[in-house]
Amino acid sequence: MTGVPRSAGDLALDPAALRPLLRNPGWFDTARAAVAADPSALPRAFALAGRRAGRGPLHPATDPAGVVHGTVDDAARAALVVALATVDTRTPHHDVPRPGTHSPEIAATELATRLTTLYHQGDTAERRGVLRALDALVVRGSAPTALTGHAVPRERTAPSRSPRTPLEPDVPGTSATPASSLPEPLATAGIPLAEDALRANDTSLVAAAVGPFGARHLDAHTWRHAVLKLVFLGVPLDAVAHLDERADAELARMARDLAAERRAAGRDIPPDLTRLLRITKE
Amino acid sequence: MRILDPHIHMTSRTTDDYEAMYAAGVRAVVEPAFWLGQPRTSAASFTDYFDSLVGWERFRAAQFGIRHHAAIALNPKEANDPRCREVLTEIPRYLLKDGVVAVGEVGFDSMTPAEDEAFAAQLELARDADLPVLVHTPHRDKLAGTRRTLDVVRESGLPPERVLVDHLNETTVALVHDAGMWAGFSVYPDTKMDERRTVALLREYGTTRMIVNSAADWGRSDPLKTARTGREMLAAGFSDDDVDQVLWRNPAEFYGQSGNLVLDPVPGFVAGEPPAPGVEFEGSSVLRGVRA
Ligand SMILES: [Zn+2]
Repeated sequence: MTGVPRSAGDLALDPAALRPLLRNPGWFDTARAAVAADPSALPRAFALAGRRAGRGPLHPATDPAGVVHGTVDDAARAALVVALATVDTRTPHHDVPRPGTHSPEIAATELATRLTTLYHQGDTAERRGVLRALDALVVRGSAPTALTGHAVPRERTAPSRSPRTPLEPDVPGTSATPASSLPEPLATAGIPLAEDALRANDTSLVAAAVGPFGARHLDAHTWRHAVLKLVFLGVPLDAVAHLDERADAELARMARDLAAERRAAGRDIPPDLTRLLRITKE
Repeated sequence: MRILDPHIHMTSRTTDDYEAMYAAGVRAVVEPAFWLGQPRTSAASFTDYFDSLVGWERFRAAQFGIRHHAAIALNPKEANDPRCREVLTEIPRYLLKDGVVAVGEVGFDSMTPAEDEAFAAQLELARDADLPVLVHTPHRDKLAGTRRTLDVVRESGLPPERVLVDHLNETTVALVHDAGMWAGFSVYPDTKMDERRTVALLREYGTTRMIVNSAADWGRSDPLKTARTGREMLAAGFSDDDVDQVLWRNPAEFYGQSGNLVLDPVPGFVAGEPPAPGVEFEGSSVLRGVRA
């Protein structure tokens, strides 16, 4: 993966790499330990993360506003959630919960409830933190400490879908799509949060909703509209995880129509639209 | 001239205002929660408003190079409606948010028992959250209202330097100044204070703990009144440093007590250019024009 900048969700899984980027690494260590010991410490740590960890972009040279790959506090907040998730779901055997311990599915339900509340009670940065945390959990999916539970199927009917658009199923997972799916309660909770962010006009929220979680769990219609919205907002498509793998014929049609509309209006074709036309050509 | 407008309701203003404010030197604002002209009927209506003060409005301001902060409170007018008072239990979690630099606007409107209670309760929230307080003084019966305001503040035990008492005029400034609190002047086109009268009070009381704002909102008001007052100060013989103290350092010191004020320039903002979400993208079409 050389050359691909690590996003906030990736760095949340690598505290050692994240620590030196933080304003106050000591706070980060303390907060993660506090959250792991007591989940009710999470909301306060989430609110303070910008002041303690810093708010700068993770990749200042290519993403000065931290919109595309996220900010230092995005990664710190996502790491706090990972610290909680690791505790919540730690069981010695994936498939056979010991008697007397709560099952991983229940743990995922609890985590889902906490993430939903954090998002709805959060400001913009905290909402990004939740979305980047979902990314981290998806990326971590294949690791040995993975959350277990039933995967949610990616196929989903979008109620807003126009009846004339064929209801094709999503692209099935391929070897080129490394992201695994989250346990059903987390996916079910995360999807409406990502959809909420995609309705926003704040570029950083929209960009945070098209990471690995969005790539794995958003239905095709919603995901395609998200990609097109980024083009409208002028956010580089580098924000989109697994763009090449998920781009399909319908996205190609939408990109061609947008290009035609721009030409008819005598407007420039933005470079990211050109990129989209190129990807979807094959 | 660099300006921190310590009291302005940007939710009611246009992007043209943001552009003109930046051009006039405004680099930061504080937007206190207040009533919207149309009464609210539920606590949920407040939380949506608070969310927009710490969310969308901050984003919008940053598009124009301006740092946006908020003060959060149940305003005195709506403290009289029991349906609205329920929001008091929601306020503590907002006081923790990034960029929330004070509790405000609190104070009196009609000086009712319900206002009294909400005012005192929110002074306590400020003490618990370790935040300064922006206090509104009533338009009607202003002198009596200001006296009563100072009594409630004293009873709360908050240190005077944590309190900014706003909308003062010739008849109320001495009370507040002598109490060791910060004195705020809302410079309006035709009510409250004008530039000349404000400058006269600065000459009489000095520039220490004196703060000037536009209090611009949905009524007849002018978001450039801070800059105009600065020019009036210079014309009256005040130095550039005096103007900087009143329009920037004083409000920065007051709200800086929150530990939550961010005054460095908005990253990536270039005046006169559309904001670019990332440098990889050229010729971006932007939120200023486009709604995706
Ligand atoms: Zn006001």
